[in-house]
Amino acid sequence: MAHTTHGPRTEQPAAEEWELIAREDPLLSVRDLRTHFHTDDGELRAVDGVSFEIRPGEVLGLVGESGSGKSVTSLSLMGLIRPPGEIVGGEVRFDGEDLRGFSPERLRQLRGEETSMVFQEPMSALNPVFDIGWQVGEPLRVHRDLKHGASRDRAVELMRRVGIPSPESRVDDYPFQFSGGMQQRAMIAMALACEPRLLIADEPTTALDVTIEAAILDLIRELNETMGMATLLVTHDLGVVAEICDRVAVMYAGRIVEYGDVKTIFDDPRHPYTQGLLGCIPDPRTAQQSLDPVRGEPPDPREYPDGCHYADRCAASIRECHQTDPRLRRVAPDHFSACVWEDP
Amino acid sequence: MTRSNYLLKRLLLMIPVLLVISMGIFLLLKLSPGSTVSALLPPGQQSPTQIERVTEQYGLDEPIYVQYGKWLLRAVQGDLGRSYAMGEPVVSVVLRSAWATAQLGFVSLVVSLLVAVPLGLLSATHRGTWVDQFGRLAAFGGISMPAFWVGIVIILVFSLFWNQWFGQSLVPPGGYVPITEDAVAWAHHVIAPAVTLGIGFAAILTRQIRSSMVTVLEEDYVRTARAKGVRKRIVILVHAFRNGLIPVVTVLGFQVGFLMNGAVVVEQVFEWPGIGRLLFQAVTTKDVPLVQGAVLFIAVIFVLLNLAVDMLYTYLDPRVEY
Amino acid sequence: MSSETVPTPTSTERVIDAARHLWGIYGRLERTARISIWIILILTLTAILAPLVAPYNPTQENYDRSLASPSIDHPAGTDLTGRDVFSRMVFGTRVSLAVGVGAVLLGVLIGVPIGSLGGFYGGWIDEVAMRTMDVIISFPALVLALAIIGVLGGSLWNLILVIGIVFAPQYARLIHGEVLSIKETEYVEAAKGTGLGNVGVLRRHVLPNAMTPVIVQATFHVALAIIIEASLSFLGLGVQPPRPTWGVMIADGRRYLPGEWWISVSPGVAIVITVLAFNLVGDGLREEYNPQLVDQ
Repeated sequence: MAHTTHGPRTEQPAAEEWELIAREDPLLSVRDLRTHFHTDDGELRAVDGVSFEIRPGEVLGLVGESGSGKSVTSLSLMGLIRPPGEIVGGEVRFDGEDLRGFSPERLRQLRGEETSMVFQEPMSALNPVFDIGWQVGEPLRVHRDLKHGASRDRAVELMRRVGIPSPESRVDDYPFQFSGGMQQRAMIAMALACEPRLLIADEPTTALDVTIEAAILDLIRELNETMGMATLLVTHDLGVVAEICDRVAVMYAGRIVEYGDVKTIFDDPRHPYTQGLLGCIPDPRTAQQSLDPVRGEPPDPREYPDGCHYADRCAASIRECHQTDPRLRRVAPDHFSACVWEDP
Repeated sequence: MTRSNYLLKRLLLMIPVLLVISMGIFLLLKLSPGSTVSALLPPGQQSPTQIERVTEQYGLDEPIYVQYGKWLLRAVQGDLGRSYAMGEPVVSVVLRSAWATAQLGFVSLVVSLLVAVPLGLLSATHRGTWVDQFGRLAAFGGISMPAFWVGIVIILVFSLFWNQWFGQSLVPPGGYVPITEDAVAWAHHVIAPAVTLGIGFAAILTRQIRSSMVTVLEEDYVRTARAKGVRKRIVILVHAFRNGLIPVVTVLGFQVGFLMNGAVVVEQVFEWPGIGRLLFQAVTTKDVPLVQGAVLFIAVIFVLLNLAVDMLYTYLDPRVEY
Repeated sequence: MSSETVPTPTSTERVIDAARHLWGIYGRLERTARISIWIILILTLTAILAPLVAPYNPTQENYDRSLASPSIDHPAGTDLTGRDVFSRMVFGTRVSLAVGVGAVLLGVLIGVPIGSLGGFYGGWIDEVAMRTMDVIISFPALVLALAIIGVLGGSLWNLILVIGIVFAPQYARLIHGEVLSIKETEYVEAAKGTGLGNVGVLRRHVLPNAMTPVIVQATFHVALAIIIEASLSFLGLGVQPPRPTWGVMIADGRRYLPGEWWISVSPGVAIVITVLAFNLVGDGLREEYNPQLVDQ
């Protein structure tokens, strides 16, 4: 890692964060999204000003530890946040139009057809009393007006597409009769039914065995390539990001701290948090190594400190870190870091 | 095991239960004071010779286990003896009354479902609002009102007062008309007792539905349904309710007992010739064969109903094995 | 090693502790439950101080005032022999509360030992006992009580006895389940390790924790017992005249419908208030000990 060669960048940036990172014709453009939970114990700022973009066909990884707000971000994009949660600020632009201005009915039409979602625990995310064919075919009945027979036939094809063996005989089975990996494939089939332009996968492999995980990731990557489907992959696992993502956004305590092309960031992380994360990964080639776990704990989302949320844990923090509000700034082509240091 | 095997096993298990119940009631009746002799003979005709004749005729001086044994032997052949007070075969009396109660039970179940399902669903979807609080208080109010008093109030308002206000009753103050005879009159007569019974049942059902729906609505698969863009109404009525029904159906089976509790008094208030009223009359006149027969019948229906509910459960929840 | 004596709490301290504990529970209950507790307290006082609360003697006949409508003098009117309905209702509180609480206490006193001993020791006796309990539980309570009372004859004590016996199996089964699950936990093992005998372990460690569902169920049962008592009295199989009880009053009043409807309707209102109060307290306690929903 390079050491500090320049002074800290403490002057206010010239433009809004989302303007700085903007590119041409994004499919999804998230601009300063803020999602809060109004609880009895205080206002929980789960998503505290998040901006990123996804272009058609891209795979963006949203990576962060538990509690960083990544799942809430993905649910906010789908309009699935329910009280006491609420999106309190920002824009979510899909194809140029702000979803926050949509009526509930219009949002509902979007869900499952233009954007769809895959969840973490397939066993509980699938309805136990309806068979797989019924569930996988449902988006087609809802959005494409297919009848039951036709949607069931399509379900078989979709199941085949995601690699479920003998789908004709399995289409009448119930979720509990499937293994974890097969259930997740069924969920993916369900998400693909109407050929959405954006797939949001919220920790799709976290609940699965490592061997199954690889297969599911391959499937997602393959679908992304053949269908040109943009994908937001939410995960806590850097390895997953490295496997299949084109770009990555690192999230910490409700904010994006580093964002850009995946290889660039992995080769040369610029935010102390990302550096810490990558420094924790053991190198299987060396025997002697000291791992540096990131010290400390994330701040309470009800009481964020002023300024940078990471400052209290950061080895490179200075007084300015608590006074300015570090937002993403360009440090290289397609590489943005939310740190006052350009190169800590 | 297969479904039919399970069914068979459950039916066989019924037998010891029925034996125990019938033995218990028999013992209780025989050991209690106020002998059956007085039930058999009207007060004026209780001379020693007559008592002796009756005792011999009905075998009342034989040891208890012999008496029970004889009753059991005849019972398994379908002969439950004759009612002391009425003289008719117990079997026909009991069946006739049971049919009347069944009609009452069925209509009140329909009435309660019509009230409980919407109220329970609304309470669950509007959890914490005044709708929910209202539903809760209404439900508790419903189970806190004794059925016989509710019946009296209903008769008072809709029959007697109505007559005073409007010149005729909205519903008759009691009685029974067989459905085969006059369907309209039957409906007219069954609605008031059915609503009376139904109030308590609806109260319990509402709470059950609300409670199970509240849990189900928090489940992941409901969120998945929303993520697929399914209409809100379908999410609640199909995705959620289908799951929420399952624990309610289980509870339904137990609550049939509650229905029977109410039936005893409601039949009395409305003069509905059901098995509840029959049991009451039989017990007070110490009509041993009738009491035995009625209790046995109730027990059989009970067990069969519980079995039916269990079977229904296996159809509703594909995860259940037998 | 020197030995220290840890002071054991005195009985006064225990009582204060218990009182504080109860006050804490009261504070956490929701509003309707708290109101209901006060209502129950008022009812209890009414029952105990009935002669003072009731404006008239409940059995005092006054043929001049026969079948009078509700008025300031007689808030619930009078019956055929001129007895004040309201005073009779006040005295009826005694019967209802006595039967309600008495029957449930009896049921607990019978059921809890059976269930806990069976659960603790297990074996085939336990199996048999529990199966028997299941059979009794599966039978509708009123029907069972009816059958037995019809044979024994109706009276206050018989009612308490029969209803208590009908309820006992439920407590046996409740405690049985609780004992089974607590039995295997580690702190019971530890308690046994201190040399405490089996019954001692049962009494001091297992039971206190297992009692909370019993308390909740008991509260609901008091409500149910009052309804059963009223129903049986209504049918003539319960408490016998001249003792005033709400069920009998309703039955007697039927003759005067619709003209003097207050004779039948008023006691019913008393029943509803009492039973509702117990039900709401029971629900409040259940929420406290077994909250079923996450509050928003």
